[in-house]
Amino acid sequence: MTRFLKVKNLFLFVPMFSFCLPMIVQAQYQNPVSPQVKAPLAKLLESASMSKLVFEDGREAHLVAQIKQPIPIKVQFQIIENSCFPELPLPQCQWTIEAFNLKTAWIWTKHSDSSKINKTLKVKNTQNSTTQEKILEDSNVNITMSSFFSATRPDLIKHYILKCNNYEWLEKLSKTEDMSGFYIPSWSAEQMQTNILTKKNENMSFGQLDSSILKPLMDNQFKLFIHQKLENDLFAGIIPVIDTQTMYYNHKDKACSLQIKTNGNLGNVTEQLEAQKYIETLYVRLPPKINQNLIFINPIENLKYLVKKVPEGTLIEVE
Amino acid sequence: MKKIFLILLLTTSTFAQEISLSQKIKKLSVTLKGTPPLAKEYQEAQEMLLNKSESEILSLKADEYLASISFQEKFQNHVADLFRLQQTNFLKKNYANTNDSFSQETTFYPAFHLLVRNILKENKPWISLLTDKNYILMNSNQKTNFSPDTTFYKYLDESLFKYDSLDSSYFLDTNYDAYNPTYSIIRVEGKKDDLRLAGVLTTPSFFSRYVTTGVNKNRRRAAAIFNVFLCKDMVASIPVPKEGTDPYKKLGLIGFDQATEEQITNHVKSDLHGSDPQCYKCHRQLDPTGAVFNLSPTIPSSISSPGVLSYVNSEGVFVQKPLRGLGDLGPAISTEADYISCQVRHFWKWTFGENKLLTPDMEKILVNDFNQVQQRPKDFIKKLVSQPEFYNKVTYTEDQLSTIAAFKVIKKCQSCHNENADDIELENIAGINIYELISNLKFENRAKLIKRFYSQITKNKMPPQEAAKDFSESEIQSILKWINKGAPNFKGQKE
Repeated sequence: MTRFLKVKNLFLFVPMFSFCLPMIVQAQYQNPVSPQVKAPLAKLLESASMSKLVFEDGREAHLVAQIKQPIPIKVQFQIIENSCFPELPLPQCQWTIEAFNLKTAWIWTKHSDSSKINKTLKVKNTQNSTTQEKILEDSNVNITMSSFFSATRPDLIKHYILKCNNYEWLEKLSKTEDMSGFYIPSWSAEQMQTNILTKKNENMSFGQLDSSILKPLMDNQFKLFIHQKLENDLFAGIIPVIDTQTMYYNHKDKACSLQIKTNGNLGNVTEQLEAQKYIETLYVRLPPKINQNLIFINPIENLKYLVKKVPEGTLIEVE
Repeated sequence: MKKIFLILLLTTSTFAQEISLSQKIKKLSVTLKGTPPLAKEYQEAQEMLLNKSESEILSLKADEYLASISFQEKFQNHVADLFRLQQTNFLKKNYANTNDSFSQETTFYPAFHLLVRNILKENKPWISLLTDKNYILMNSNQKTNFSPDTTFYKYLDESLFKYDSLDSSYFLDTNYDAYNPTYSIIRVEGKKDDLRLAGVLTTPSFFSRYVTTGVNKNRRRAAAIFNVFLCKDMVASIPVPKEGTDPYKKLGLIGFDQATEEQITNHVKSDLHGSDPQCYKCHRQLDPTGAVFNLSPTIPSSISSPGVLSYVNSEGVFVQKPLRGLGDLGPAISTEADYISCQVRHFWKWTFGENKLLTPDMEKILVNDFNQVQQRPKDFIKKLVSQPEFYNKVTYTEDQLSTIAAFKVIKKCQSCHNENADDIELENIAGINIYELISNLKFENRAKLIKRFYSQITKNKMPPQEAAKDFSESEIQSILKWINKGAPNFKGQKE
């Protein structure tokens, strides 16, 4: 479990699995209880490519994404079950991926104190005097592939390269219409989580990618492409290092699945990714479907306190 | 005459008391709306007695209550209970508890609940729970609010989505016309023949409650379908690691109660889960049925997955109906006799209460009634509450209560002890009409069979280890208690 937590922190999975079930269920039953009385501190203004906060006193902050140098990673895995074709060999495989560290934050771009310019905006939230203060700054994640950048920066879409010692399993998957690759109708990963409805810990599928394609490369390798729809979606990527995954497919009239067990031991990759240098800062716009987005989780969380009315007794400080 | 009447009462030992009109209206209101009537309703009813009969008044009140939002909320939550989902807060309660407009505005109803509510509101045939493909999703108008349901259907074609303003008639009646939530509505309008969608099964609530894994292969979901729609008590249970923290994950498979994750994985690898004869009894039912969820581990897939509705029905027949996808489940289940009697039992429980015994004869009559009204929920509920017994205050004796409790548990035994069993031991009460066995004191070998129940339980032979999870301690004790009382029949009579 400890190892898993490390892995979990390493890569933000939501991407392809951009549906985070437990969070969603939890939200279904939340009902705010405190009256909202305080006026918002700032306004959110958005242009085609940027989002900015404008405060009453004239200060401004822009949303940015800061990118560190990517590094390559190799992840070993084994297919441990082929439910429809148990007689086929269960191969050893490897993903080769590139990952990079990404920080998203609101940074001051207009401030009476010039030393604050280009510094991260911090929101300190103290709810009543009895509750502990919460400070929100930036979000810092390690990702592999994000369609958030697909329109502007396709070079930041990092495709995975697959290599196995046997591909008989792959040939049971349907071919794409143009016969250029093999089609994975559905793909999911698993994690031990608390089921919000039962309050019990359960191992569960927690994300799903539909319609990904493995296209052959030279030298007996395959490259993973995610569905065009997802390329346009909020952001997409995968975490191939996650402990257990299942690829689902249909073969004729049978429902089939391939269970995958990965070697999630990645050593000090997290530290390596964080130690890389920032290579650029991009001014960005909040994604349209922000409730799916964990890349921007803290900047989005900040919005709650800055551009909305807040409960009475809540003290919001902005630095 | 009085003496004879008293003897009759003592013989039947069931005290049915006629209650007043006010009490009847109260019972009707509490059953259908969850709250007692307003004081003025009693007075109005008394005034109506001048030109209407009592049954006419009760019929009018039933119509009024069945048209209310409170009815939809109450019965929507009954269905949520069936699926072991959380109930949503009644809107009225939200209003009563706070004057805070923000709380009112953000009251959120999940797609599951809204679908059920719409079926009730529109009085659609009950199978719409599995066949209706029109979802209503509450979508936040504000960027910082979370709209949980809207991402769930993201793999479906964009053409199915209709964006709309919130139609408050889904939530309100005239009492709550101030409700102005900060949500708009997204409708997902699946075509009737869309094989990817199946009513309440393809909602975030169902998927979240019945999560799956590569090992589980949607068996938990299949078990929920059997349970809710066919009253087939089956617990989808995978071998759970010893270190697992979920007490409900008591292992149902022989020899795996202390299994580690690694052992389970090895089991899966070597045995292809489900092919073991002991396991196969359940797996042959759960696996093909659950297969329709194959491509949809967390959200509905963009393409459907085939499966087979497979289950041993109450007659012991192994039913197998091919399914092209989830969308075929509803039509396949709707024609099953077990489905109809099962739903009748749910409605009976929701109107008459948990402890009121539904006799097999009454069940037959109600099955006809249910079909007669094209399985429309409001019409059927109206029929149920029109039964004279609905208004009778029935008091059972201790003996009768023990008999009813034992009856329910012994019936469960037949999920293994059925004609389909391949084990001679299991066949000993297979095909026996348990109701007859209990009610008829002259039933052949009654005493012998009951004695056997007692010895099997007290010697810890029954229920066996693999079925123990299906019986609570109090259920097992209820059989012993009934036998210790002399195994009375439903009238409280003993041999």
